[in-house]
Amino acid sequence: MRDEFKSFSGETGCPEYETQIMLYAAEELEGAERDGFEEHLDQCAKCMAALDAERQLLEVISSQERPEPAPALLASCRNRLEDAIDEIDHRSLFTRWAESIFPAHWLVMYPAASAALLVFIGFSAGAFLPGRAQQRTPPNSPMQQAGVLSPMLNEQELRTADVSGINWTPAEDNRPPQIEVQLTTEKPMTVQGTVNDTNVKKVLTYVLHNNHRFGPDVRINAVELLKGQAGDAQVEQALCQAARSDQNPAVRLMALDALGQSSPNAAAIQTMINALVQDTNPGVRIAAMTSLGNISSRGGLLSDPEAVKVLRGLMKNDRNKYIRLQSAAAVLQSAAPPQQ
Amino acid sequence: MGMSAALEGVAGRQAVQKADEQALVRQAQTGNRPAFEELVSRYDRDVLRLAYSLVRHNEDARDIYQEVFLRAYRNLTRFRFECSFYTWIYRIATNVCLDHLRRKNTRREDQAPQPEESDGTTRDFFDQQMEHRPAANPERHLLGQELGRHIATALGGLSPRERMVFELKHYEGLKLRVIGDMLGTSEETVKNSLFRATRKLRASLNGMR
Repeated sequence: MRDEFKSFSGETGCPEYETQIMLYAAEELEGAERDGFEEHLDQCAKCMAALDAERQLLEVISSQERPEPAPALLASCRNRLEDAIDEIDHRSLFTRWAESIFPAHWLVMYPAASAALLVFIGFSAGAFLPGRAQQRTPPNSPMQQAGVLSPMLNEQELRTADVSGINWTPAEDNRPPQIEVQLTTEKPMTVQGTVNDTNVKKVLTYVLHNNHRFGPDVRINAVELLKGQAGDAQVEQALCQAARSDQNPAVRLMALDALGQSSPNAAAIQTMINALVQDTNPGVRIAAMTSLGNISSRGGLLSDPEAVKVLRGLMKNDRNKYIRLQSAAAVLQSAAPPQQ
Repeated sequence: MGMSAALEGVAGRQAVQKADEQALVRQAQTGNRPAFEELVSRYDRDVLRLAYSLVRHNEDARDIYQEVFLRAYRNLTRFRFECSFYTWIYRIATNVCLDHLRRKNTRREDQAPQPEESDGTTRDFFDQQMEHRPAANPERHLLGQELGRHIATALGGLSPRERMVFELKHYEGLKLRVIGDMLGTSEETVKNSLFRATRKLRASLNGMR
């Protein structure tokens, strides 16, 4: 790296040509000025060396990777801007309405009456419109438009999309929640439905498979929504991927917890074992252990001698007391008939 | 012949784009929200990139983005087509960025660096917990990054205006005349700022040898 600096340091041209050297290197010298400077360059080795040094300096600086904002940042900026413009539009409508019935000069002429009227309006608004202010803007502006995607949501669309938000409304009677996933593509789109809906499931599992592309809040929401469907092969695979490769321990922990709530296949058990042995986050390891314990209590480890062998090793040697105790319990349960 | 036809094609497309943009601006000026949002979507990536490369902080870049487009929304009726909409938006963006950099220079507490991933994303609380897994702990301190840090430090030593001019010239690739137009100043003043910026950068990087 020191050599990088050497290449453009210490070289100075003729003092009267200092500006021209900088402008020439920046390709900003034109016409007669350029011709004159080039003539001088032909005769002046000092200025030529200074020009080389200037070019090297610019090359080194521009060769550095420019910091790029994360794609999710653009999506969140757009959402926030849209909310702010909604507010401005809403406020300006209200201002026009208020001015039409309550001119500003009236306030000056009758201050006491104005104050009383404002208090009255405030109370009335508070009493009659409590829920209105919290209502979300209906998705009718173009930034939210596009509505529900057709069942043809494909891999290509997902590859170019950012998930700017996942919202859901809990349903009654243990029915799955209504989910709304906002996708930012060339034209923002919204995918709606329950977790059983093909498109919703596809987006949520895509988020977990491609966790490096999405923000931690989006990944956590995806796991949270998918956890009730861990028995589904596609979902289980996505949860395994999250448990193995998500950089956020909270996501890994939740994915392992979700896997433990179903009857996972051998690959999922292997994912838990790997997390238990290799993950350096104590919370994640404990989640893996707890899930394995749950599975063991349901007789899920009876057909997995490899997993039991690892647990035997951990019950003797793991530095974490909780893991040692839980491993021992799981090993015992794996040898006993499953609890009813 | 082929070349001239191609050039005519490019010129034709540019003319159509310009007319299309003018129509959009006129619609937006009458209060048409979709038209304004279409204009935003054409330029907001560039504005965010400029803001982010100057402040290198997600929250600050987001604030700048918001301020730029809200100012544009509020002042759209004052746009008189004396320059392109792109230049107008960039003029607002450079002003907002300069204000931000100046404010930042006077508030030391703002200068605490935000922990960031190499891909520019912010790390959240859980991400900041110690991890030693090989997959989660890639080689982040490559040799080239040291040079990058030196350059970032050197750029940080420039005045807000010098920084802006250098950024627009050498990273955005704009001509000094255009930069002057955006910053509302003469080309000569921009040349002086660029000259000072380059000299400071050279001195700063030499000092790190």
